Amino acid sequence: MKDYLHIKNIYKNYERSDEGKMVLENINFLIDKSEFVAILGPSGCGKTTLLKIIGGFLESEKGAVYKNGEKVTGTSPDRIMVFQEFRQLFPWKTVLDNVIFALKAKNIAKNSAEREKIARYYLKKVELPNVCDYYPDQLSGGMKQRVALARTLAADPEIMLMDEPFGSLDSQTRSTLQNLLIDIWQEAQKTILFVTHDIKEAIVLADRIIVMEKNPGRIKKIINNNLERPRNRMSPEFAQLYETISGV
Amino acid sequence: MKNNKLLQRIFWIILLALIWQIVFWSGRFSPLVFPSLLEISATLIDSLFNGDLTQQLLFSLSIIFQSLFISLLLALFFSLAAHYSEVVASLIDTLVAVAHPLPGIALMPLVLIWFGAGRQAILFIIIHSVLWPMVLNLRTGFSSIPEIYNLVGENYGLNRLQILIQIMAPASLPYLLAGLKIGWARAWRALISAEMLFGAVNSSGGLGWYIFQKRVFFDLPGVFSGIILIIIIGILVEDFIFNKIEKKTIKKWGMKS
Repeated sequence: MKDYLHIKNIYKNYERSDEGKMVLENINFLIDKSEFVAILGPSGCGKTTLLKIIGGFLESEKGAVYKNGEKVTGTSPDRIMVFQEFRQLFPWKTVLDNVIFALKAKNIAKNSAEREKIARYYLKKVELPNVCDYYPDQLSGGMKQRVALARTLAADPEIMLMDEPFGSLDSQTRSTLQNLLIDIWQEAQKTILFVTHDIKEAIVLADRIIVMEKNPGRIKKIINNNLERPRNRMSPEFAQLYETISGV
Repeated sequence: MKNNKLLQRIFWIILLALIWQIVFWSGRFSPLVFPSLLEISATLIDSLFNGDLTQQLLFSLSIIFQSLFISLLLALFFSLAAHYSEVVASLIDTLVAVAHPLPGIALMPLVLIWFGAGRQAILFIIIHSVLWPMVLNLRTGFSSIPEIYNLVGENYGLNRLQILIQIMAPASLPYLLAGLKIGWARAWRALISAEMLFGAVNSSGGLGWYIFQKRVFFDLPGVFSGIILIIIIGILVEDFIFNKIEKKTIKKWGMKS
């Protein structure tokens, strides 16, 4: 199933300018089922725009996204986006209710007792079992992103679209959450598209790294990452791959 | 901390009351125009339990709640329609721009001719005073909902009605509450003025009429009873109803700026 997700010939213009400046030009790639792909690039290269097109939040001028050969239109709970902003959680719902929101939206579980059980299960998965009754406002940034992760997992999407979800965290919390995400991915076998501008993050996480450039936003190179998991951020192979990618 | 604030407030009120009473005892003013606090309290309690003050109060409150309820429904309808349609939005914005600066009292002569001096007339004046600031607040509330809430709702497959109820309503609650607070304050002011001008309908004229009538009979303790009751109701609504609601919702959620 090499062509599970097909990003075909995507072109996208700048929304707010008449210059016809391209944000995205001729984007083509295939994604395997359960593959972890990173989209790496400097800010302004259109990587978030690309993710939003795949998520169905934006439309492209040309080209389309195909899942299992079928053209993707609009948003769907099959492709859940995890944002960088901490306020993607609903502040008026407790942590538990934020996760239950996903279960209700997707009509998972028969009754509220069962939904609560499932929600608690996912909060335990992201190592946050003790803050169920807290409100998001009371949590740290890292904890909020964990809850967002739990909510996404609870919705049981086929594809997780992650838009620099750890971009606003301190480096220590970021590493912890990267490791957590890998564990979750290996267990749940989701297809993950992870946007980042951090080379190390891309190397730690992804099977394949799509390196983009800006003006116009194009794919520069697609690099396979065969480093053995769990990946050691200090190993010479890691450093070598880092060199290769920064030299692209 | 909070207890301390309450104690301080009570202290100042007692001090002010004492000064009042001392001024009265000094005999500097005639008791006819500057009644003793004791007499005012006695009159207040007597007319609450034996007189018609309670009836007037209930009359005023029933009008105010009815008008707040109607205003809230209208404001919700207007601001939602404006949220979904740009044509309606420009119409509503024009209406607000024209009507908002116009004090309700200025409409009274017209209202008297159109509706007569009944309950309807007072309702009309209050709704006019409350509706426009409420619409303004709700419009701001809806337009300041972070885009990301709607994106998340859309992503999880919520339809428009579900987004409205599950996301837009709670997300704009801080503005709704602020609108209700302003609405309450303005309604209370408009009500008292309207009642004073329109007078009694079927023996009930409300608190404003009560105060006005007491003045006619030069019953100053009666006048002050009405005034004190207005203050008490104001404090009760502000401190107990609105603060309680805020504490249980937007303060707990960290949404109060």
